[in-house]
Amino acid sequence: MILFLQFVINGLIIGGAYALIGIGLTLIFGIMNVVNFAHGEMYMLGAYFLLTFFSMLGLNFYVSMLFAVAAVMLVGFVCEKSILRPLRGRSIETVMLAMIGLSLFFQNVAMLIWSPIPEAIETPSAMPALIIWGLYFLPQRILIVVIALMLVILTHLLLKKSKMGKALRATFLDPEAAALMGINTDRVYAFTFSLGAGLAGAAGVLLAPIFTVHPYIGNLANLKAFAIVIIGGLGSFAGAVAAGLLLGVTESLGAAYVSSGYQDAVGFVLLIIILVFRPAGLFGKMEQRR
Amino acid sequence: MNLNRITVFVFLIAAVLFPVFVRDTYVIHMTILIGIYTLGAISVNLLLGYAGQLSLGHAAFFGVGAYASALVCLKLALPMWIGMIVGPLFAGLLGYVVAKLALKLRGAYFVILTISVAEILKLVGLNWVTLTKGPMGLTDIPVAVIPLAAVGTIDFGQKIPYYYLVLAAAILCAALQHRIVQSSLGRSIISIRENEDLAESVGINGYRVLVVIVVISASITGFSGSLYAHYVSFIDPGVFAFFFSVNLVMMVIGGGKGTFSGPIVGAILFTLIPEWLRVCGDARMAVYALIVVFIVIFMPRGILYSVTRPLARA
Repeated sequence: MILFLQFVINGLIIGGAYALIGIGLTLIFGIMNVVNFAHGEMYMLGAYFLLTFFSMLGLNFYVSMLFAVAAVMLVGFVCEKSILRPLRGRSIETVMLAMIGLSLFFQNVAMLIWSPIPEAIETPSAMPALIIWGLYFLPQRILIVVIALMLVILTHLLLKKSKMGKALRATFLDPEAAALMGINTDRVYAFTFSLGAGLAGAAGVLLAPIFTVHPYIGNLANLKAFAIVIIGGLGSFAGAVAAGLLLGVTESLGAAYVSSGYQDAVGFVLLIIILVFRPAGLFGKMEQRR
Repeated sequence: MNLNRITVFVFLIAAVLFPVFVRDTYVIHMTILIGIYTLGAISVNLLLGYAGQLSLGHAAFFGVGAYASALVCLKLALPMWIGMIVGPLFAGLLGYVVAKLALKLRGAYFVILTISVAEILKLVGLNWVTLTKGPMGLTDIPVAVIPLAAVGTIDFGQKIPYYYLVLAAAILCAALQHRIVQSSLGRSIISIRENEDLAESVGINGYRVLVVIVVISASITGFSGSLYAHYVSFIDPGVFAFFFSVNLVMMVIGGGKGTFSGPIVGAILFTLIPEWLRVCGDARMAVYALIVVFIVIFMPRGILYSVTRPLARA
């Protein structure tokens, strides 16, 4: 029983980071109608920027985390301006292929800059694990959950309370009406894409110290992000959070009790089941408005 | 004879005589690969170019065709020809299942479901070690040797006999594509691409027609996988790679989707471009990615269209 709980907790921790990737992707899809195949690369870049700032330049760990996320947001901003803007109004498939090209580009540029050899980031917190009721809590992993939750709540508040958030939600409902009401939709799109990229980058920053970093980690992150977003319902914020946690836990339990080789298949199997029986996703109410 | 027929005729003669004039093994090797990928590109063209459905999971059909064909020969000791029937058959079967599940959905959902299927199969290929030998892959996939009474043998382990086998397969599939597009099935899928609601209103069962076209498309890709497996005689779960599915789609878009020659031109270009880019060294794939983005943004109707259009106008 203790072991089962431990697996659930481990799953929730990874799931927190999954949720971040998921809300980033779902925002970009919901507001911009872009299936962002380069989303996993933002995750990868987050991890590499952390490696650069922290391990290579020797900055403070937390400062490095901030810088890394900011750098990813900047990359997202540039991508939106250079690739997505000229493609606005083109079919969703065309944009999809351009984003695949972009993801391939980032992977190979990362390989050129940082070499294809997997690297580990030495964590600063040498604190011993906390043991509560026989369950292990590593400080590094607690940090992941705390920061992930904070970012989810912050993003939620940003969408609900701020003026920009209001503009985002208006654009989500009806881009043309929003533009007529004086909302600068170009700015909304640029902001959305940078925010989404930043969230994926944050997930990369959080998970990098517990996994190794290499140029191709984005591939799997990307596919998992799709699984999360579809399980939660395309465009649904709450759905992405719930599905991220669900995927983390199912993977952890699947690896423990079924087969670790098929751990990464869990997301795809869940995804196919959802698509076949409930294509709108678990929280698929938003979908009807589109 | 109109200009198109003459072009096809000249192209055919050139393809048949090609090994007579070109003796370079590497060039023949690349040409065989182009032929194999042409099959894949044709199948994606049927689905994307004519029926308007984007699949990024065709590596699943390619891989299943390759594995089924190889396993039939290795485990059951059957000849290559049986493998080349079983491969497309299994791929078509998988196509039927995927189509039944996925075609209730359109657009992004359909795309992501096809990707998921290929990814799951890749994991199965990696983990079902007793059947697939996992990441070690299958080696020594046999080829057929036909004995000829007086002249000797035709050994398909040799490049030139295999070249003609692949050429025959490519011609067969190109002809099949042509026939399908000219048939009522072809008109149905094109009408679905143009406006599915309108097509349904005149009595076309969109779901059923698309299932048929997915099965045909999957079988052709399976055939292509089967040809590939026996040609390189080694396959591993890498045959299910997402990148391969993307490449097939790029061939179709780069060559010109929804045209007869598009997939052929695309297969030639997108097999050769990565080879030419070897001059870029380590930056090769980064440059390739930029070319992909460039083509998608600036040549949405394909290179052939972009090149011939200004000429036609002049």
